[in-house]
Amino acid sequence: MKYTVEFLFWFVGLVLFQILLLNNVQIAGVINPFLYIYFIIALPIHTNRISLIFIGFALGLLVDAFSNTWGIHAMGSTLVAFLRPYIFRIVATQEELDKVMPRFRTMGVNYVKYIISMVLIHHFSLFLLEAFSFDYFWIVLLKTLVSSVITILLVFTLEKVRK
Amino acid sequence: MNKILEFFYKYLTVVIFLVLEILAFLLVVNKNDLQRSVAFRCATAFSAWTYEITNSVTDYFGLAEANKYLAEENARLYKELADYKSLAKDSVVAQGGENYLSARVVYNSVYDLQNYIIIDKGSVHGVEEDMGVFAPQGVVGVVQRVSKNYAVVLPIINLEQVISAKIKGNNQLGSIKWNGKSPLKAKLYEIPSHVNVVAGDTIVTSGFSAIFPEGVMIGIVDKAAHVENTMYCDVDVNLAVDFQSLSYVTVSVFENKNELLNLQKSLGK
Repeated sequence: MKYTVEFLFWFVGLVLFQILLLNNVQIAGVINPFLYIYFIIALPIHTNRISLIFIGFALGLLVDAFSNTWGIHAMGSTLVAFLRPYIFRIVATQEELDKVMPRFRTMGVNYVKYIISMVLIHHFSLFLLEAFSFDYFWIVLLKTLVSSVITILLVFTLEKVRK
Repeated sequence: MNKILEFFYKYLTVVIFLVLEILAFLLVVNKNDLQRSVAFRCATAFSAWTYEITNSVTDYFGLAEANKYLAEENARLYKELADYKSLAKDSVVAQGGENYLSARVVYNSVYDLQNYIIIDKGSVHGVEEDMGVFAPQGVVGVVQRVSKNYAVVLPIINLEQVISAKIKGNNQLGSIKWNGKSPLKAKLYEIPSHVNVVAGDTIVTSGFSAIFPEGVMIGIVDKAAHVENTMYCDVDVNLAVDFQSLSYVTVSVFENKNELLNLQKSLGK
């Protein structure tokens, strides 16, 4: 119950932050950070996989609704929500997976790998869907890399704040 | 049992994931202009590709039908060519003030007493009432009524039709009228009994009306006999035109018709 309220707060806060502030950040045409994905990153490790997918879809759809990009964020965040358990299995050890929350202080460098994988996959799928063509593959890749760096920095800032 | 449930659970996750992704994708291609136009282009290209493949297969099944159609078309064109060749040698020669218009038969009755023909040329194409109509073999009839794009032709094989004719060779005048029985035969009336008519004589148009030019084939005398107590011969004529297989006809447009009609009226005819 304690967690539910906390995550509800995170959900609303991240979506508001995304649509009110970050959606208006367009630096040099390549930097669009999407911090709302941190919500899926921060969910407890043993979250039910089906709930995870539904949460991802709802989160994406909500951001879509306020960004007038119907379906794009829904696809991206549903994808990372589906892939999250597989990424855990690849980057983390069994000992780390027995913990309740994925946090830097419990997982260390594996947590960094986990965040980088999640953000890169999410951003790449978003920008590819936005371009909707492989003709712009290199631009898509550039936007993914640059925006991911900003998003990852923001994620670590949040981690510090959370403590 | 546990294993089966686990297996099912694993697949349930994938299915839900795919359903949500497809839902989101449908949103993407329906709600966003750029993505919609790209998707539409891809869908069009894809369906064109599949049509091409299915066509390349079904074309082979259609070859027999296409062959048959082409053979029929060939035969028809050969026949038409032959007809046109014979038309050049035929007695129909365009004279001054005459013009010809080709028309297709769209309706043709043969077995009624009041047979008629409808052709696909009308007032728009310059067809008027009382114009002569003939096939490559000979006289067909006279235009009776005209609408915008069609015309009704009263053929020789209609009891109301009378066409001025003459015997080729001695120029003896008569009139052709149907006997009301066979679409192949008609009678030649008003031939005086002193005239020598024999089977095989050619009957052509007289040219004394504004309808037909002179010398258009009508038919061949089948048999001729003198009828007792009358002044006339009884002449049966085999019609040159096969009305049962009429498909294309020619309308003769006599451009000075009105002039001639006015002249005839002034004579009190």
